[in-house]
Amino acid sequence: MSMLVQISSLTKRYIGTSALSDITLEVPEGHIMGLLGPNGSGKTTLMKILAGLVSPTSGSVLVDGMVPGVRTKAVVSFLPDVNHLDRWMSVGEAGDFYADFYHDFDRKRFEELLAIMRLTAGQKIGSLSRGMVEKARLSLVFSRRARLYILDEPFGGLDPLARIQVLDALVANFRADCSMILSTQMVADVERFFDDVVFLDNGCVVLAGEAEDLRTRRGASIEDIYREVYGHVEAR
Amino acid sequence: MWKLVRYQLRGRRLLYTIGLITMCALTLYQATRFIGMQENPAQSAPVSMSVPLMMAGFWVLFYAVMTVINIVTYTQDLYGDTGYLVFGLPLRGAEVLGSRIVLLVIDTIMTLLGGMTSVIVLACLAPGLAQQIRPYVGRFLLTGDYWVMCLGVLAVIVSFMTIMFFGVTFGKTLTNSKKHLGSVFSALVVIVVLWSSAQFGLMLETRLSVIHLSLSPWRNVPILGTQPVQFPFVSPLLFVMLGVLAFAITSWLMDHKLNL
Amino acid sequence: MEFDDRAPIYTQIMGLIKRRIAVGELKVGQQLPSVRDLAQQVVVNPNTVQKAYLELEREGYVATQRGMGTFVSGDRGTVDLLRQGLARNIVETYVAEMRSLEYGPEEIAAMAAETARKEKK
Repeated sequence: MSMLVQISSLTKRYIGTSALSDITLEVPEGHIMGLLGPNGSGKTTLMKILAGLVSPTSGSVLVDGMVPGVRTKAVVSFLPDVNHLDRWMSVGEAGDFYADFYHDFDRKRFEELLAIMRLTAGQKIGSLSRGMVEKARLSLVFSRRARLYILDEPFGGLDPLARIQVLDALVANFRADCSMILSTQMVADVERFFDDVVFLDNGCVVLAGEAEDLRTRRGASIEDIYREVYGHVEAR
Repeated sequence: MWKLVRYQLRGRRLLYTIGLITMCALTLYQATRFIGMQENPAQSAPVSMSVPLMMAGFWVLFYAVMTVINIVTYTQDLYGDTGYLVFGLPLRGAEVLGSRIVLLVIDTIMTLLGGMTSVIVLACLAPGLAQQIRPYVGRFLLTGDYWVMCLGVLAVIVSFMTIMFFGVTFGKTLTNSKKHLGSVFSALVVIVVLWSSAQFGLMLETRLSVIHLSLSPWRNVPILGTQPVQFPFVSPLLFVMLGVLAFAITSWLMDHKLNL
Repeated sequence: MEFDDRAPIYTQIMGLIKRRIAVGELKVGQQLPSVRDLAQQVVVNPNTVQKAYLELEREGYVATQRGMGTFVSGDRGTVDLLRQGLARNIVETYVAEMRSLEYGPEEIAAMAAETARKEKK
């Protein structure tokens, strides 16, 4: 199995603070990885580095064998945890924008997803509720036939029904030639989608492994393990 | 890059429409002020010279607004959430910056042509004004010098703005702070760059005083004034070189040192 | 579909399929749902379903034909054996729990028979 993401000794420092310290991990092709940890643990920084939006301080990062840059952006579909669309854009225009710049954008799938999410092309992003904006952005990200999907808290702001719709879309979207990295606080709802999980704390990997393996060895759910790992950490 | 330019232009449609309509309205308003005075050309002449200058001033204002919007939206992209969209596109830094430079050039050309059109329209409607302007038309518009000067102005403005883009970008690469700490820093960077370039130019001038060079950018920027300006070739050249350097460094920073 | 996240999901999926075979919902020679279909049905990672299918194949309950799908293998005999095996597991759990409540073998058997007779109506 080839590795879609290979990270070795990755460190990211800002003036006065360290966001990531000596991170080493791999994501095989066709796998879904759960990136778990409390706020400030470095999940978002790690995802942004993979998406080519933040530059590493040291260490090596390879996405599909390439250093994050223009070529990887063409095969990586990133969903940030904030709304990254212009408010004056309509849903359809956002789709057109994506289609214009990303060759892997599948218009047909976009229309199908919009129908599932009960969104129409004419709605302006600025007029949508938080949950609907989230669904619109997810539709855009999933409509790309990318090699790597990076989703930062995709379930925030979604009601339970919408969450199920998104999880269904996730499974339906699954292909053996792509991989997914997603971070979430709602571990219980999503844990049965993870092939691999990585627990981050303060920019370091405190635990990593295959989800099923961890369940077997510890006789606990990933959520239980989460509580165990971070139990000593006070609420931030 | 041109795809991005198209989108940015489309986003500015409303601004351009409002701006151009306002300019037209202003021009016509100025013109109506002395349509009544047409019977006595001699009387209208002393009043009217300030009018084209004021029109030119309005056009400069329009240009300033468009340029400020240009750099402010860039800063917003850099510091805000929409940056995830723009900088996540499979485009090189040079293309992202280049699209903004193209917008700047379009705005500059629009202002120059618009300004000239306004003045000509006014001259046509106010005979006294036409008499005043005619000698300048001869000395300016119809000479190659004027167009070279416009090109020089374009080059200097674009270079100056590129240095500003550099300042904003550089500030952002040092910190991932969402606060506009970086803006303050970038303003400092710009001031430092301009001051040191002026010093450098001065130093070169004194060192090479045998050759009569005029290098200090600030002392020799050609302005659209009422006096014919001797076109100093070297100083805008130094500025343009700085601009090109700023472009290269900014593109590199965008590709390798960005921290959104 | 309810799964216990504390135990590996693929074993639970295997259990699910074995049950279906045992009660005849899935007949010998019948095709199993595709990995993707089952994953969408029970809402889990398709890789987990894949792993379950592979393990089932290793244990001999199913066989995969390339390009055609996964089919229930075996015969009437193997299905009966499977049914018995599953039943035995249930009984063992029942007996163990009753024993922990300190019931003796006769009472355990009597209660089971009584309840079985009742529910049959």
